[in-house]
Amino acid sequence: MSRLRQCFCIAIVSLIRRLRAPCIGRAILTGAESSHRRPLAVLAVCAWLAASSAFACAGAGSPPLQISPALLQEDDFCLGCHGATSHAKDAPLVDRAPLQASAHEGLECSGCHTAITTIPHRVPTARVDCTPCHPGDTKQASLKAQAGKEAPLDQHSAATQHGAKGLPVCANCHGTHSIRRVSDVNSRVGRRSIASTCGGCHKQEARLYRDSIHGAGAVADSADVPTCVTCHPEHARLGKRGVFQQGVVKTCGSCHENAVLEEKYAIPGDRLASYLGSYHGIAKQLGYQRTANCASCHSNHLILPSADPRSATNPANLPRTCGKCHPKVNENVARGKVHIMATAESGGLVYRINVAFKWFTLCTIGALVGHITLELFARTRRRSGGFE
Amino acid sequence: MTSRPPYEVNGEGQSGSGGFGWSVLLREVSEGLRQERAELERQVDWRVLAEVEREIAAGLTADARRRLRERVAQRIEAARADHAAEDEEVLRFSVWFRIQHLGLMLSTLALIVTGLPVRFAETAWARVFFSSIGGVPVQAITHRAAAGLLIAVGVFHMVYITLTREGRRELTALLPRARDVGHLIHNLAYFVGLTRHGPRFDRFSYAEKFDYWAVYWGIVVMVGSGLMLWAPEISMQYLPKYAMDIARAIHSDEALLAAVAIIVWHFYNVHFGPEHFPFSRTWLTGRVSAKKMRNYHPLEYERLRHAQEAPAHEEERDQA
Repeated sequence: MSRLRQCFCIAIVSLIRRLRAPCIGRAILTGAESSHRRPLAVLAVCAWLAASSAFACAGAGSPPLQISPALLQEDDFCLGCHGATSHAKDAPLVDRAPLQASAHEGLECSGCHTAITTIPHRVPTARVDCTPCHPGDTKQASLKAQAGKEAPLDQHSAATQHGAKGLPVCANCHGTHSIRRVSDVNSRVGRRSIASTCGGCHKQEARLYRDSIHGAGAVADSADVPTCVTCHPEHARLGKRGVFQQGVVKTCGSCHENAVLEEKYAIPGDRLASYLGSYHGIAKQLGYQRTANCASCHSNHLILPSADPRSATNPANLPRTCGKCHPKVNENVARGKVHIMATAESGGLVYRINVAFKWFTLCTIGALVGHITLELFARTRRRSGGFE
Repeated sequence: MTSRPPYEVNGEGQSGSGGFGWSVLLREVSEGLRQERAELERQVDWRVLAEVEREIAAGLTADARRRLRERVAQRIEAARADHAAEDEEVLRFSVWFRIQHLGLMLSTLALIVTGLPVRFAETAWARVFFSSIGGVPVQAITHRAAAGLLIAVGVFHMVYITLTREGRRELTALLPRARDVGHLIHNLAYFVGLTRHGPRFDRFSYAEKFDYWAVYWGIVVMVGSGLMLWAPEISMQYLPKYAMDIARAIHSDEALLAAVAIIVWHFYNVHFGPEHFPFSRTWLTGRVSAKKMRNYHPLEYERLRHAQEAPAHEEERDQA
């Protein structure tokens, strides 16, 4: 901001305050709003500037001046410096158009930039605090809670708590003046853009995701296909996160054990049930977290159908995939199905063994119980003289 | 002594050559009838003896009367001894077999306890069990340790029944024979009231033989499939994955069958059966009362009595 312009502004503000005449300032500013009164307003501003510039320059070295609460409500007051028309050389340019198209349409500058109360701004770099309006689900809220009472709300704040630097805050993902609702197609955190938004930092993951079956679907804009936040719900509390060891099975199962989606996309069914019936799944259910979960075999971001040669579950790749936990396994691991339902016809031989044993068990135990029953029956009858 | 059906003279000797036929059943039924006749004959014997004694008492010499009285007294004494012997206990299982049974029992119980929760992993009690013992790794180790004990008992048993005299004798007595099928049918007929007397068993009834051979089958299946699953990395060097799946299905299903069979059949026969409740102590002491012996293993019992008394009779004859 040029020295002269700064002086003008301060002069206006100080005079308004000194003369206890906020009505004049408002008249000027509302005049600027409505075009037919604009000449009058400009004239008034010029007059005030001319009249007070000398006086104001004399007071330039004094401490920053408080902006009155009334003026803080007026966006045009801020745009006097930050606006495109009267843009000062070193004041950040603010375009009102994206803001008016955003979810925060109608909110004045001071609604978010609460730290700015003086001219010149004492804390020009102060970040916007979203918590007054969005309590509980933002990073700031968790940073405030990090005094140790509450668990951190999300991975980024948890990492910040542990000393990591440069991690994103609300604005890094949601944008600043152009914040749109998640449901909005043009939102930075919406279905279409979220991969790019997260990929700004997580480049490798975003690239693998775009190559995966899920990423290909997301580009096609299907509302059923998972995006980054489907599996990594950013604002979920620690321990309830989608891909956490305890939760990953449920997260994948929410789609892959969903009859509607299985039908719609012709994806194989009973994935969760057959996993839970396997030794891996049993160990998982019984609290053993080192066992394989969905992602252990299917990888995490580059998830592809097993027919794809790049897939971790492609038969050719299985020895390597299984070998991560079971060293020394060879191509034998690829000989046989993996998601076997022992209770369904698709289970093949395992199902037939199951059925055979069921009947074998029923017949054997039935015969034994029958024998015992007859013996007890005979004993009772003979004791009461029944057969004699 | 009590009469003995001619075909049972040497217990196991009469082999079960040839399959089961109606002849076996007929033999069983006719044997029941024979028993009844023997009982009748015995009663008639006593009455006739008393009658004869009364009739000839007057005409006998004093010496003859004394001799007669002595012999009657001897018989009464023998009958009393018989009665007293019922409360005695007979050794049925040697300490070696008791040790094997103990090992089998402990390992099987441990295997069932640590194995069933895996089969029923989705249930709440399985989760409670696992969290209380300290998780999956503890279960994995205890299950394998118990399996090791079971395998050791199995190997020891195989050695024992083939290489020792006692073992071979027991194995011979345990071999299934056609007679066992006859016994089963006879017993069922007896249960529903078709015959007045049940079959007379030798050392091992068909029920006991079933119990024994069921364990054989169970151990072969469980140990075979269990060894495949013991160390999957090693098994899968040689076996395809589907073989492991089959082994697992068999291991799981047969385990349930074995567990239920033990709880139903074996527990009824040694715990909950009216004559054993709350439990039979035979597995600890190896002994069984002569009364039970006579009731449930009459042929063996009689053979034992005969073997005991035979020398005494010979002495008597020598003296005479």
